[in-house]
Amino acid sequence: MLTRSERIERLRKAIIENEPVVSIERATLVTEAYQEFEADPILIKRAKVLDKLLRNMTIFINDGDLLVGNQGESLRCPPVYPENLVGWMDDEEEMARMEVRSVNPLKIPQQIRPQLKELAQYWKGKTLVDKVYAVFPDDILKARKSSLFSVSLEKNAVGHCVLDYEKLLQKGYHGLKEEIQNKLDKMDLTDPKELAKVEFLEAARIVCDAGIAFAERYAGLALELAEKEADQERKRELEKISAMCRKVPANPAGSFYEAVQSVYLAHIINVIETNAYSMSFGRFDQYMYPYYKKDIEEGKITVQEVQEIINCFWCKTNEIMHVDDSEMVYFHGGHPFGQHLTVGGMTRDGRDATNELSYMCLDAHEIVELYQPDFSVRLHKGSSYKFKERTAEVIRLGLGLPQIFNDEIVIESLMNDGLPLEEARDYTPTGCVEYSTPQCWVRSPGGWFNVPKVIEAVLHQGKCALTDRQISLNTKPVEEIESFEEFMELFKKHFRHAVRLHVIWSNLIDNVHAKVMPQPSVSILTDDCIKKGKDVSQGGARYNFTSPLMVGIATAVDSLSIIKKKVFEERTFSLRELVEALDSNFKGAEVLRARLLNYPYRYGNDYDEVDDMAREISVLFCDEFAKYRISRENGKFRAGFWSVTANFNLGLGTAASADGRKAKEELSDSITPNSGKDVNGLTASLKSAAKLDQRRASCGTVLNRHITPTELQGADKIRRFVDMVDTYFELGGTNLGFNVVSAETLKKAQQNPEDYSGLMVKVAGYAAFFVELGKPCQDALIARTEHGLS
Amino acid sequence: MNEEKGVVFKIQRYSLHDGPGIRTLIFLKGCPLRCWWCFNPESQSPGPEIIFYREKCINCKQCVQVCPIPGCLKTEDGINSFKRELCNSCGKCVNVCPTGAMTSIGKLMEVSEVMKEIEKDRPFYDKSGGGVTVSGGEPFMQPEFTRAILKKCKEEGINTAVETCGFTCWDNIEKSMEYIDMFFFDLKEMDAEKHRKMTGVSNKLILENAKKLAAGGKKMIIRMPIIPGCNDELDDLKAAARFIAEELGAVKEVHLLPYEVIGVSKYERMQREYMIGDVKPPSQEAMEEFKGIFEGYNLRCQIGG
Ligand code: SF4
Ligand code: SF4
Repeated sequence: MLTRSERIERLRKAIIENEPVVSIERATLVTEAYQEFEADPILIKRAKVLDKLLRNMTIFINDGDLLVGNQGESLRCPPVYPENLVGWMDDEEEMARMEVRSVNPLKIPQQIRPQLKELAQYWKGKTLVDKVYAVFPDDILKARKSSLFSVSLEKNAVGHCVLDYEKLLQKGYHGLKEEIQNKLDKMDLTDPKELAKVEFLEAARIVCDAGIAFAERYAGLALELAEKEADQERKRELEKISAMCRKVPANPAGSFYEAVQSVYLAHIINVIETNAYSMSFGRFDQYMYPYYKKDIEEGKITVQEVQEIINCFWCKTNEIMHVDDSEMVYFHGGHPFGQHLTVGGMTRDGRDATNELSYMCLDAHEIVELYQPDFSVRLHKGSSYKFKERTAEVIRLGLGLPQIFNDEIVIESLMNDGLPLEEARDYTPTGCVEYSTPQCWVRSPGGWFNVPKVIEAVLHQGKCALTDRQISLNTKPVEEIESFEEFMELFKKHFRHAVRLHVIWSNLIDNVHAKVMPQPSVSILTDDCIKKGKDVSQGGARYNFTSPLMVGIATAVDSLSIIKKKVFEERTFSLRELVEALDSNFKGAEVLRARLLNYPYRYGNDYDEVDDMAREISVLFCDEFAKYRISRENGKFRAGFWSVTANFNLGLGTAASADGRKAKEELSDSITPNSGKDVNGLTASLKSAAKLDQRRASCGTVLNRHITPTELQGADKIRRFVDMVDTYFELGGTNLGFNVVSAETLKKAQQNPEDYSGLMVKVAGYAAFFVELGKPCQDALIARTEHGLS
Repeated sequence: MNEEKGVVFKIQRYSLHDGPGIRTLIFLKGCPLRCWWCFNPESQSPGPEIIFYREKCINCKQCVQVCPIPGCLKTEDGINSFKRELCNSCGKCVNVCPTGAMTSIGKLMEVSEVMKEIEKDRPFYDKSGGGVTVSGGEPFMQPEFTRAILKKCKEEGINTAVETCGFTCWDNIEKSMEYIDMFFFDLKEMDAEKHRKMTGVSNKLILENAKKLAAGGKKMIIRMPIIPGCNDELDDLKAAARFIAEELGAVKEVHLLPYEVIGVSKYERMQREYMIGDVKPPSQEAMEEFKGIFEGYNLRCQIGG
């Protein structure tokens, strides 16, 4: 049994007990900065905004913390990003909803509301979301409003990236500045192409300086605190922090401790720059290892001290939060921030990469027991049993993480996307699942694509059944559809049309990002932005992608399976009868609905005929998007099969479906079977999922499974668990996440949330506090089949 | 050649019990015993039968309209009711019922159909050293069918286990022996009279078969359900331990399965009386004590399957 030190206990308690309150300081500073730097071109403006923030925002150091770097004015006070959206800021009703909602409630103090309103006045028409919506043509707007697709960073900057921390640790900001200067020195400014790069490089230099100044401020603060500190031990700690912040991230890291501090400061700077989700830490056990090894060998640090620093780092990632409005919160139940950290896997030259730090990260997860970082383990054929066993042990703790990834398939899928083998081996999941490297810039989520809505369009001549809007092609009425084959042809036709709209919509957003939301601070650590003299938003990265995500596959496949069997084969009811039942949301059609719900041939039960349909649709999704190119550097669309909690949001805009689901209820999650409809056991659902061509989904797939603690009890059961995971991976599965809880526990938690505030579950790609999720999401988790016999 | 057919009660994949690795359990229908505590009373009778799940019924009357037997299914005060003694198991109601409230338990299957289900988890057996366990009911109530499945599994290189209550003529076991890698042999009670009372049959044949099987050279694990108030007296258990140690020399392992509450609803649905009423599961301490008895005879003993 691993125990927490008093320090970690205190840091952890502060995180759990702090009620999230919106912080206004950032909004005020940013607004001033935008006014002050109005004349500057956008890249310089964004760099100067960051500079102003880093030099003026409130900074603090947590009592007892070994690491520094804060986001808001005080602990767990998410700042406001008015440059993104301000809709909620002068909307009292919306603010009231935000305070009392069951998902991620946020306090908005009365005294800041007048200021929020004033800021909203200034920003109206100038924000990212305003500019994005201004460019949508009518057909796209209609489809978007009817949830044919939804949310693709319309209100956020792009995150879901992993930065080149290895380079940061080797060079420091000074080293980066030198690289920028060299580039500038060599440029021929009479060449217009070269001249165009100056703006970015200047901006890059400003953010390096801003970062150095920011760290200096912590150095000063730590020294101030040290002088006042009575406790001698803490005094020494603060002095050490002070010395460290004078050195990093400005300069190369000289020790393990410095390396961790350097990465965290660079991370928090990127978080402050934009409110982008899922800024990830990547392969922490890899880039930290040389520093660890050297310190240990030279006797400069003990293993216990290393563990304590990692534990502090783990706590720290839980300090970061977001202000989400009522739409966005649907995607982020449980305050995740998607800061993905992964351990294990293989090295660039194909050997097993697992090292002591991999195990220490697993230990940190057990010790700290919080929901961040988004933690995962990479496995490959050469991973040791010992490592898998330890992973299973940590999963058994029921914290909802780590997720497990299958190197062999992920690497193959990245190579299909054009990455060379060695780079592909160095991948890391970012955010929930999407794979990336410091050479990639992936605009993710590149929009959630609603597959069941396409069926709705087929059944309603291209109209949205909830609003009667024409969102797709006007095709023949259902009476005239004579066979299932014809039905599928129509389905594909609407599907292709929806993909076309999605592509245009997504690229329009991309273009706006390049114009109004460049990200110089993340660009300096994304290869090859400096070399190319381009920001990530303009295609500075070596590889550029946008990732459309397929949602509701089980809902869609179950619906199609029913239509095929009941309408066209058994002729139990006609398509018209079905449509009428769906349009009335099953009012007066309860018997028909019962028949639909009771229909057994569904995805997730290892029926080839049904699973083949899932495979066909997923291939169609990949093939269709592969026909198009993205705005940045002619990059590619790369598909992902996962939903986070977008299945709830898209469900709200989707009429009743043929699988018996009522209007506005959630769609199925990721590639997980419909809740409670996978009745043939865990292995059957794994086999169904493995029948999808997961190699094609280079932006990831998610399969969430529940498992009872007894299934992981004892060495013998753990071995079978590992065998089960290995088999799924050999069959072609990429990712597995487990919720180790009983339905009983969840029900109790729903009834007495106060008694279960620490209960963690996994939703799609991340873990969250169960009690902070919305009720429908809670219900779905409870309903999801529990596998195995306890 | 006509394929062997049998009545299957259910097939359950991803079992982590009843043998090594990840397994598929084949439950066959029909059992010669009528244990008071039976967890699956619907598996006891040999043929398919119709079950009515009242809680799933939405009183739509579709079943009433198709049932050929007057009075078997009827709606009174808007509520559907089922008289099982009149039912001829024709299955018409099952076909029309939209909710699955009328269900047929037990499916006549050919060996190849069963094998198709078994083959589905093949990759998991191969990885984990798992396989198939034929259980019941009582597998040797359908000896040819059981043998045919096991033979096929061995031909396919799949590990096999059988769970039996031992109440069958020795010939049935012997003929299947070569296709079985391990046995779970249920022992309920050493006292013949008590055994007859609680299970409906004498234990003489069972104990004889146990001895023969133990001498047969296959791995064999004894399983004992522990039912408070029925077979949990210390003397009962000591007698069992002594029997195993002295008469079944090859057996080295015993599983004690604590009684689990299932509630009377399963029995009500079968329109049968639940003989042991509201027995509570044995305490952990009691189970540990029982375990000690077996360990005292140098037997490996585990609580639970
Ligand atoms: S099985 Fe046949 S006889 Fe029995 S209830 Fe159903 S329809 Fe009536
Ligand atoms: S058909 Fe099914 S749901 Fe309808 S009354 Fe009969 S048992 Fe009930």
